[in-house]
Amino acid sequence: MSIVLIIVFFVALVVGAPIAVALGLSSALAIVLFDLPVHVLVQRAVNALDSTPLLAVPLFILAASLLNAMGVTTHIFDLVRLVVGRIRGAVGQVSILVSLIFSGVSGAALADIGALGKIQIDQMVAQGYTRRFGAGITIAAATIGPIFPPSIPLIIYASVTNVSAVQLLVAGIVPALLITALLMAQVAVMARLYDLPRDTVSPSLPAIAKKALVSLPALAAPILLIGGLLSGYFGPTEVAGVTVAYALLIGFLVYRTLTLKAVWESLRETAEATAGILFIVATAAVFAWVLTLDRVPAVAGSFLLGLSDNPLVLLLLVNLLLLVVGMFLESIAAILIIAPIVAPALHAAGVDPLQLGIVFVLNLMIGLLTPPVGMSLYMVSIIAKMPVHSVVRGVLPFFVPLVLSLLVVSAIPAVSTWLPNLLSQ
Amino acid sequence: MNGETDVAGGRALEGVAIGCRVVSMLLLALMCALIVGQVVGRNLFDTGMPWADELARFCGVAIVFLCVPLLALRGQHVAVDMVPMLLPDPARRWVGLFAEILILAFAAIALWGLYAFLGRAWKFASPSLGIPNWVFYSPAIVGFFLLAVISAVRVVGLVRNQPLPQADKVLP
Repeated sequence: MSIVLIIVFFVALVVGAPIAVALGLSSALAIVLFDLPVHVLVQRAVNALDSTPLLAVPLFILAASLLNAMGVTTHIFDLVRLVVGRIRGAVGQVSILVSLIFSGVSGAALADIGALGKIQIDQMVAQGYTRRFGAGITIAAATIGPIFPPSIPLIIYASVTNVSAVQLLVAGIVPALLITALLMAQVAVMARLYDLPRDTVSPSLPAIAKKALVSLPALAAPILLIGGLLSGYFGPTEVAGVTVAYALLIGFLVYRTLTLKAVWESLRETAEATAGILFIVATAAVFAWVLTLDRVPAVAGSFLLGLSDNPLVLLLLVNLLLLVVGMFLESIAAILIIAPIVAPALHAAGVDPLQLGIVFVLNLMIGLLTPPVGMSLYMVSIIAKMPVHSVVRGVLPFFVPLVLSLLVVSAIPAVSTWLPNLLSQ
Repeated sequence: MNGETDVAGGRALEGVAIGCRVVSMLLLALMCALIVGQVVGRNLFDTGMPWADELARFCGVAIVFLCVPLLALRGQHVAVDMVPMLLPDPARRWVGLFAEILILAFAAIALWGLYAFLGRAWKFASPSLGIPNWVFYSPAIVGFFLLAVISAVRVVGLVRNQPLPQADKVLP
């Protein structure tokens, strides 16, 4: 049954059918051909969406869209430029830091690229960087977003594997800072090697103070959200709703740049983006059900544990598997299909569930940078108006820090587990 | 996939699909209000609203299924078009036709599944608000029905070799 499922899935994928349809049709055919009850198809699909954690998806997309619509991303970008100053390759460093800050309110890599990509690439090109470098750093920095809380993939992973969503979100903080540091180190090396330009800003304390004051309401958002999560005032899904409310509040009352028309436009963007992502989630749930019925998770789990019982070796094997899977499967679909297969076996082998969650999502975020199903590549290609293969060449150097981060997170459990353990004491 | 509406009924379908999207936008706004309302109610007024969670989840389901048809009409579902794009024009058209037939087949089986499920479970209701299944599943019915119609219209368009206009040209 699983063979039929996988063959139909790949045929549908290759001919260009939507990923959601490829997943749904392969499951539907398996259900029909193997005489399973056909109603399961829609029941599973609808039940998959009838989930409180998944409500975070549209809410985080809406929050990022509103913050972008009111222009706060430009304020934050200008402030970080002033703080970083005129070092060589400054705008590259600024792009990484702004991505880190924005990831504190946005939960998805594609939302980060949508909000920041144009500003970052345009600014770099204006200062004499190649468009390819701008695209590369933008796309690489966007991997920070889904690792730093809040994060849509981490919330979905937590709901699939029954891990505490709050603990998993907190577990992402140190790895996200590690990725930021390694990406910045890479830019520093490239700045020396390729003689990247210095920024044209004239930083001064009054200028920084003035810009910081303007940016303060937006900068306060990540603190409010992470503080609210840790204090228990609201759960991971509610945090997304509160972000939307906060964005509306500062947009209408503080910045006064938000209009009803912009809110309507954000609702439109969000509804469409949500449908695109969650339709995949719905059909991936049916696909995962068929795999489970065919005992694929149990067989794969036994196979994995038969290869080794060393947690590090198993994690490295899963890394290899996920890097390949990430090239062909959309990240949320991959979480829904692969996590239930590998997580129980790795938990049984002694891999910390929080560490596995971070390794899992980081792998899939690197998968967003690899063709053929590299959604970030396509998005940056549209924003930067350049062909996908040029974007791939731009991002290639940044695989070094990203893969290095992945290896560190895989080899050292404390990178992911230290902070949540500390806070839960 | 490309947008395809220059066929019989194409404009009417656009209108219906856009109408569904507007409903889903309103449900999104309602969902936000419900989630924030729960936080405010619990933390400020010590009031729980268990029904709000159920209604918010219904909104979450409806947002997806009501927007799926428009995305299909505009060819905006996430797809891997690397292989079709490498093909010469006539072959690309045939592959596109095959992809549309796959969508139609999926929508048809999903509608069959809905018929089989709601035929026996239409009146069972949700625990908090008592929403009957036929209401809870109605966005899925609308979504899959429109998806089937849209893919059928696109199949006809491709068979008749009609032009494939871009999304921004076919939508208001």
